[in-house]
Amino acid sequence: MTYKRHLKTALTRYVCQRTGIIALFLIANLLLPPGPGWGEGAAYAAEFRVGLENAPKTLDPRYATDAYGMRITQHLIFDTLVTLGYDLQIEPSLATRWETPDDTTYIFHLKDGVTFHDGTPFTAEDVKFTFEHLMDETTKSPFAGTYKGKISRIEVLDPKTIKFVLTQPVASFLTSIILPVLPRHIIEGGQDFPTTLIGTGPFKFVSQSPTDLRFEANKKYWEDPPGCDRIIFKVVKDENTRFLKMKKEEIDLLVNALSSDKIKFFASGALHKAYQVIEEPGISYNYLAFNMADEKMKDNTLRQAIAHGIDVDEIIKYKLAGHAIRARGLLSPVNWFSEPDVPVMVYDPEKARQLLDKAGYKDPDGDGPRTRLTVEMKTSNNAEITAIARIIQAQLLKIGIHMDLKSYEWGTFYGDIKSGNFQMTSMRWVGVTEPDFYYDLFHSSQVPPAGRNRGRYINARVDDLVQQGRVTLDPDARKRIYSKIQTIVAGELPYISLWHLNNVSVVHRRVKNYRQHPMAGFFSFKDIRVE
Amino acid sequence: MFQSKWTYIGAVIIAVFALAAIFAPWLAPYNPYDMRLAEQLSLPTLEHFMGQDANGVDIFSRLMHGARISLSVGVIVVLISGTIGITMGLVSGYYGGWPDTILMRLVDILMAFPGLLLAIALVSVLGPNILNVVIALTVLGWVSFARLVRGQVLSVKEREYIQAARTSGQSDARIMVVHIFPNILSPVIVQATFSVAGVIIAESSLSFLGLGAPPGTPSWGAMLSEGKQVILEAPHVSIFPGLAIMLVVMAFNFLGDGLRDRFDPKSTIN
Repeated sequence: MTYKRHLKTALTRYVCQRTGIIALFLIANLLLPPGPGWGEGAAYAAEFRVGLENAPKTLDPRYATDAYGMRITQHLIFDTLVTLGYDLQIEPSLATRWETPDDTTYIFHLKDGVTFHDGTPFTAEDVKFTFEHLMDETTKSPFAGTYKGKISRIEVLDPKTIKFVLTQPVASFLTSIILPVLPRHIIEGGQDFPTTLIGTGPFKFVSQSPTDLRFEANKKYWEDPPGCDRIIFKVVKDENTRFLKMKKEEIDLLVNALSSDKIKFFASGALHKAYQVIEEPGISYNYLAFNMADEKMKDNTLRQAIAHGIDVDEIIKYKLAGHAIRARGLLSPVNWFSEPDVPVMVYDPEKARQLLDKAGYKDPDGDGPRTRLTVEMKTSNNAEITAIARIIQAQLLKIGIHMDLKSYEWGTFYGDIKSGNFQMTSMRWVGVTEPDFYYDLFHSSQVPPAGRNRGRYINARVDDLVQQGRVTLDPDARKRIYSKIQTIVAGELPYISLWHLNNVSVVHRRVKNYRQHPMAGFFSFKDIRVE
Repeated sequence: MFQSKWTYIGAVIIAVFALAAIFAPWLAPYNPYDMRLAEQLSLPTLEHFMGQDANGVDIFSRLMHGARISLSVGVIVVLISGTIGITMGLVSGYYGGWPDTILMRLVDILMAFPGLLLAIALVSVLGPNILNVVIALTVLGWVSFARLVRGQVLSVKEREYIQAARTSGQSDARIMVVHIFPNILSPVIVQATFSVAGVIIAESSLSFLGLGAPPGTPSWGAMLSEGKQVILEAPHVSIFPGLAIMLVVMAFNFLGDGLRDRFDPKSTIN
């Protein structure tokens, strides 16, 4: 008992002391004026704070292939020879103009007065080095394949003029060279490039940690200097935490990083006073893919039945709260090459049932619980993709198809898809601008491991057309070719087109001049002013 | 029979959940797969008294069907792992020597792993489905039974009645099954009760991480995980499955406490 009493007294004393300390601390907090270091909410005037869902895998532009890595390297730290404008058309950047004396030669005239962050002038030698370095096998850049076999040689005509000679006409050449120009003197000189990241871009790299990335304005930028002094990217993986940080006004901008359930809080009410929502059509593409080599799935009638059994509009309306538009094909309507007049499989359960009858999958018991057939759908364990797949599962059940839904962690899932061990899957392509992507997806030579024709779609006519599309330089003729491809693919249904997600930016009203790009990139960051 | 009323409360809660699980297809007011997207995230009403989830499915109906998974996984894993663990413990304790050394080192190795991490690793390798969850949790579960039973056997096997049985020429197997096992049953039952609670939490954790039942299957852990996405705007989607897990686990612990107080001569109640 004595021991217990001692313990109780000691505990009481300890709690009282601690409570006293906490109370004193709270009072001091109330009395002292809040300084800039007090809490994350207090921001510097010209500091622009952007929330990210994930940290970029790398900021080394030779290896950055993830969306955030590419956006930061291409739009902030470095510049590219040409760029894609807000209408997705090629625009000048470091190259002020270019000419094509013949189908396989491009001569670029470079901008004067451009320097790297360390003051070294930018010249044609840097451009030549960049592409030769990327193609060099020892660099092991994932971009090497883009140029190998296409670029025959690169010649520096003078410090501000460079010539690319190609092995054959390449219609997508200008799009393919949108990659950061590297500093030759740093990399060849053996200086530390991956941690200094010296470029010509509007922002200089300052520091990187797993939770934030910091950049400062390049005051000597060749265009107008940036409108804000600093950019801080805050990596916040959990969506609820991102939302709460926005609520506390600790983040100025989120691009495509909030679900529709959360966006609505910024579209009206108290948060609408602090933030505005900018929503425009995007270029990502959600689809269902079939394995055309599968015994069941190679039947076009069955694929049509499935397409007619999925109510895409219902999913867009309720699950995506209208933040998407119905897709007719890989290319979003924003894209000049997109063909609007293609066959669309509208939701029609009755027609779907008739098609199933025609395909030989009769209803075994009318309204009874037995289904006509079972198909297997594999997805990654991404919560959003799985949630959508569950709705499709419920919709297909209404036309008598039992969809066996299996979700795996990414490695296993991706391995199965590449090796053709699936019947159906659902994925998303992001940043689709160049119609030559049809070659990667649907040419018979591109069945994995060679390419990305994971659905094993083989059609001689499509092979021929995508090949023509690659070498036809006249834009109108090229557009006609891709219109034909889009019409054939929409009818043959190797993919069921679902939707193009809109780009949705939630941006603080103190941020001025923010403009959303169809690729959801960071193009306008150099123009941003923070009040 | 039991000194604490909490034991009875635990038993009643378990009985209610067990009945709900068994008769879910008849008692549940709605089909747990029936999506009504237009009614997504609806708050509790008289028609749907726990509200509707992100797909407009009735949460109460899904909870009732989810009880089938949670309770059956709990009971099946404990039955299998108990059988394996008891056999291993009996052999190890009774024979001693090299079987004991090998089995107990195996137990040490398995106990050195953080339990849930090993289960996650196993399910990741085997593939996420309920059968593999049962396998993973069984691989982990038998260890505690083996260790407990071995200890009990060591203390019992030197008693006179075992000596007598041995002298009378009874086989080792008969001595273990007929004479030793009934005398060490009480702590095993207590252990089994607590284990069911542990397994239910583990199954929910794996489902929460997307490693349990296939997507769409009504499972408490998966429901909690789905609710997490919308916890700020629709907390009821995660509150009810959370409460269900808490209630069942608490009930098994109450029951386990009661059984231990009843069977363990060393335990006393103030």
